[in-house]
Amino acid sequence: MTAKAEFEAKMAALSTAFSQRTAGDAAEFEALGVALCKADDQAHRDRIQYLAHRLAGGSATFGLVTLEEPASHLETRILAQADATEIGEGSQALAETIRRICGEPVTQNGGNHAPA
Amino acid sequence: MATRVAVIDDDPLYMEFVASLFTNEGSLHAVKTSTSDELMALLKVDPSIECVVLDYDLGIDTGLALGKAIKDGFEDPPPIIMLTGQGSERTAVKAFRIGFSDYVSKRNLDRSELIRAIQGAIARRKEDRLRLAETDKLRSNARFDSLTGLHSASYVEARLSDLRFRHAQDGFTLIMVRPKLLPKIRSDLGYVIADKLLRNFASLLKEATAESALCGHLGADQFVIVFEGRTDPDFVASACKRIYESVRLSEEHNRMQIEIEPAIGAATFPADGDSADAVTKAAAKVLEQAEQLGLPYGFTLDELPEGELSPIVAETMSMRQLEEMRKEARKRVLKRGKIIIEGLNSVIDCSVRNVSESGAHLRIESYFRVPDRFKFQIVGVGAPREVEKRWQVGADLGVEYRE
Repeated sequence: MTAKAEFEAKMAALSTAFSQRTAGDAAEFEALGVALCKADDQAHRDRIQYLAHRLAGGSATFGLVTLEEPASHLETRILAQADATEIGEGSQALAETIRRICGEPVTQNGGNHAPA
Repeated sequence: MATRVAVIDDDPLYMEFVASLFTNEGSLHAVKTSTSDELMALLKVDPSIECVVLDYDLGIDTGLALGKAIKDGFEDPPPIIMLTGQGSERTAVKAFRIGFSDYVSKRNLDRSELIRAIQGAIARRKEDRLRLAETDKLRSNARFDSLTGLHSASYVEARLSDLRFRHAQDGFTLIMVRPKLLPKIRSDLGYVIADKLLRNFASLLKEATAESALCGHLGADQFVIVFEGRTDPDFVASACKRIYESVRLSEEHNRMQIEIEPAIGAATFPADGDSADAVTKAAAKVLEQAEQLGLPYGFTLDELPEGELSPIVAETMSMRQLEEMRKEARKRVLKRGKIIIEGLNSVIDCSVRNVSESGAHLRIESYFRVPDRFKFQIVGVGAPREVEKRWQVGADLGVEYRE
């Protein structure tokens, strides 16, 4: 295998891993979003910000370009200390977008499962 | 052999991507680290690291604070490139002010741009080193030392060599002086503070030295004072005592009171050596012996066996440890914090420089007057706590917990 082909294979594997991780994050975006709509909580804001930042930073690199803008927007709103409901709803909307693009996370036996 | 580049990112997938990119496109080898402590430890033991690529957002640490710690903590730090997902102009400006070599956005990342940034930074560092070597060559012939303003090592050596012949009969005394604890201060607080203390120590030494004496900086933390034509023990003892009593530095840095005393050792020509080099070595040896025995200073006498320390100085002193200098035991940290000003619905990012049981030392990114009371939270560590501002100097402030 040439060095270029090796790199492309590595990139494909990393993109798959990123996509799977992001699909798994959807459930957490949703759960945190629901919780934040009920009551403001700094720890929930921090966690959503971390997940959104991670997603915004890697999505274009790993082939999920359409997720970059909504993830980046959500992170910016958290940094601007936007209202808890706005962030909560934004987090839930991002979860929906992720599911639409990445599908449901794949379980160990290869099937899809609904988020907890 | 591939050029070694340290990479720090809290996202393992992204770090893996950067590592693959290096191998494929730049003949670079990524040395992966995932925490600030890991990176700092790596840089301390691995001088082959030629560049550092760090993420702006490292979870509870900030890339800016980490970059500053690298710049302050190493004499010749490798160039640092910031890789950030938050492509703001303000962040880029802050990075360049701290001394980052380049700034590359993760979003819309052009892979070759990152590789070019790393190669460019390494090439610039090589050029800088060559220029520095040229400057050092010129400096070595200079009469005065550029760091301390005292006579340079080369000038002192030439004068000592000359004295050896001019004072073959009546001799000369060489007193070696070293600021105690400076290596530890350099290791704990960084080169910037240590160099400042060294300069101030040199000024005190110059003030304490008679006009007729030669006062020079031999390099590193070593100073010498040379008295021509005087070698009698009473004169040497009184000169050592005067230096010990008057060259004492007491300064405050980052709310720490730092006190530096001199370590002193004296030797004479021709009694302690038949060359300038031998006398210098004898003085260094006596200085070390005096330090080990806890004496303020030491010198040799003809009638004592070779190398034995003079018993003239009866006073003893205990060496103060750096930890005792601290007014309060503080833990140095580099974490992200948030200043939450409820009345203004405002949250300001800050870095946490030190924390203790009772409070913290914070640094905001740009100056503004912080209110006297607000809530403060260390990101990722518990809930916001009520604090009271105790002091503010520019962008630095000290706070005390109220509950």
